[in-house]
Amino acid sequence: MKLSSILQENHVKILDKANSKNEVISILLDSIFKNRQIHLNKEEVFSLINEREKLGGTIFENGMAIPHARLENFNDLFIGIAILSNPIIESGIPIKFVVLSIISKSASNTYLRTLSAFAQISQNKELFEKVASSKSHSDFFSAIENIKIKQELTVGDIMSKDVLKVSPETTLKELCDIFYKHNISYIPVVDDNDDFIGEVTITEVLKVGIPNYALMIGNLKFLSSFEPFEELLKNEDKIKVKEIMRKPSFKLPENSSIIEVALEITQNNKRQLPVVEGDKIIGIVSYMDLLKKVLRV
Amino acid sequence: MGIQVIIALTIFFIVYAIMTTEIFNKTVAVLLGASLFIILGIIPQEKAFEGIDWNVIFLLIGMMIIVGITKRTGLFQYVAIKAAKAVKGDPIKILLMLSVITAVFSAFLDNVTTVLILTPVSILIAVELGVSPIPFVICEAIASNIGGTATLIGDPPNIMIGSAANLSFMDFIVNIGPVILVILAVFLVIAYFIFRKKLVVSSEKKARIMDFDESRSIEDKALLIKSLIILGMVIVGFLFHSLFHLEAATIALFGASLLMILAGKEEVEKFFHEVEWGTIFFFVGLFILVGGLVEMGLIKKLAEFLLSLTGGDIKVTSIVMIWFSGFFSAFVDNIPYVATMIPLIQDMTGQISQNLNIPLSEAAVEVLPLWWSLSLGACLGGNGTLIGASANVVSAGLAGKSGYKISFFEFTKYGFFIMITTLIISTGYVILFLLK
Repeated sequence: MKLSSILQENHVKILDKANSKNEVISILLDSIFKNRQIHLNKEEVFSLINEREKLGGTIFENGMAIPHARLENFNDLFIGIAILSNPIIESGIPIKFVVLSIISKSASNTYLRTLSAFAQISQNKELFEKVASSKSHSDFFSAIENIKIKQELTVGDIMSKDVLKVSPETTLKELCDIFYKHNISYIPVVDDNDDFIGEVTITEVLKVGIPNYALMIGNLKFLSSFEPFEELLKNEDKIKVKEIMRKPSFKLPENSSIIEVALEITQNNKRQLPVVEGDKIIGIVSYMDLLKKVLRV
Repeated sequence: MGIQVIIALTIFFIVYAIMTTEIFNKTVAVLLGASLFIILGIIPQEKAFEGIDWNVIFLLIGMMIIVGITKRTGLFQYVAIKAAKAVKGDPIKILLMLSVITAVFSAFLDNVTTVLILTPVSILIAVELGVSPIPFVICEAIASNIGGTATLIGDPPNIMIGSAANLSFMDFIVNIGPVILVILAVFLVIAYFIFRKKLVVSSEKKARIMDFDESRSIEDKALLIKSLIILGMVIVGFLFHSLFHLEAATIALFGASLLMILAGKEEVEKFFHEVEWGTIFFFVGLFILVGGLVEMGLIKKLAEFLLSLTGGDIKVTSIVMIWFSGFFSAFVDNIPYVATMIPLIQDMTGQISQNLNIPLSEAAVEVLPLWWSLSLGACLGGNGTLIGASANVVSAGLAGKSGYKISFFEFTKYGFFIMITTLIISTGYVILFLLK
């Protein structure tokens, strides 16, 4: 399905002078309410949008804003678009392109896929400039002519592509530093060919600190003092990633569905899953991605 | 010999070789062999399934559930730490105490379960004391094999022997218990002299042990009380099961069911996970394999041959039984060995009854010393080498994973000496007290 098919021409506004985000939202709501039946009035929808805005995360650095509201007892998707010839500044970001959506509270599949199509636009700098500088409806629709809405949201849409990697020869000390510095808990291990051969998490590091016999006892409450990390801190220069890494137990191709990710995460108590293409790792999808990019888009 | 007999023997020896070398999982090997026996018509399926001793299977399952629930309470760690503190943290005394505790627990629990619970705590105690954990690990493995011999439920060979020869829990305590007490005492004395010089530590190290708070190792007091009540009931039930004309398996299943109701906060499914199904199916497969050998008349031939060697003399046969079983079990899993020997002794009983022209029931009394000899030899033989018993392999594995490698030779130099000593004591005991 083309993105243009889901958009209504009369819901696309090209605004020369708008003073605030709220004004833009108001204009878009007016145009939607003129053509469509909604069981709530404009003020109610407006306040729902504002509530969501307070949570943050609806403005992107490149100048796209996606204000939206989820409505109960509503089973449709209305999208209003504003192209701002003169950007308005919000949280220090000049906003040029606003996508306002009114969505069903429960079913959000179409919305997510539509949003992912807009994300494609915003990630492509050249295209985004073309779209944001549209002077007319026909400019806009011809700019997005080739943008398609994917049938299903896939792992590729929500994974993070900036993947840090370590080698099997990396020491535990370096590994801990990377975890600490980048505030991550999972890292893939690749060999000299950049082939994905293993993974380590903080759990594996912590296990080094607890001797096997202590793990077997299970309950160590009877000890008043036990320094589990003594051994670990003493040897962190000597222990290498290859000694503690585990074989990747689950690999996803980029076109896997979101449900596969959700299933693996919940069934096997994982937090991050590697996304691969052949032997190479191309992304990591985490349970936070599901929260941030699916549940609370 | 018919072609079928040759095929049966070939399969049997291949399975035995796999079990010993563990090229692949022994349970799978046994089940594969058992199904081949049926497929090749060596034994019809109906007969094969009849040959499974359900008394053994359900006794194992029942005990696995009861112990599985009880071990979650932290009781066993509590006892171990309490003992270490009772002897004021003195390492050689702790070693002896833990050996006694291991032997006592093993008499009522599976040997492997016992070492799985006690070895980690013992390693921790040794590390805290700053001494090598290896003497502790070796002594506990040996003690578990000794203690397991004392009762019907202590070691799987006894469960099988008890079921096949119709011997009660009390029979084992009365006939095997005394000699095990002597053997344990002798073992402790030997251990004391071997290890006392290696286990000397400062008072400061001992104080670290005294600093343990064992009461905090109890995880779930309510469950502990329930488990202790059921465990107590089950042991009393075992002591008197023959009086009530109940098999031990019934007592164990009843206790397991009751405890599952009492502990029932969690799903029952979880309790069934405590059952080592691999072990259970190992027994199932073994019974079928041995049933096949019986069906082929092979066991009968072997029994005739052995009786002709010893001239049918029970005394000679008993002594041969102790030593042969001991040496064989030192290298090969004693469970399949005993499974094979059971029909052999049963067949001998029949032949003795014919030869001496006495009723079968009298012949059964005549051969009793053979059963005890089999039990003593097979169980105590497990100490002979590192691979002689699962408890040895498991505890050495635990120590190895914790950074204290125990080599085959390291274990065997102590174990073999203990095995010879204990087999000598057993021989004397059987001659003096069990043979009339």
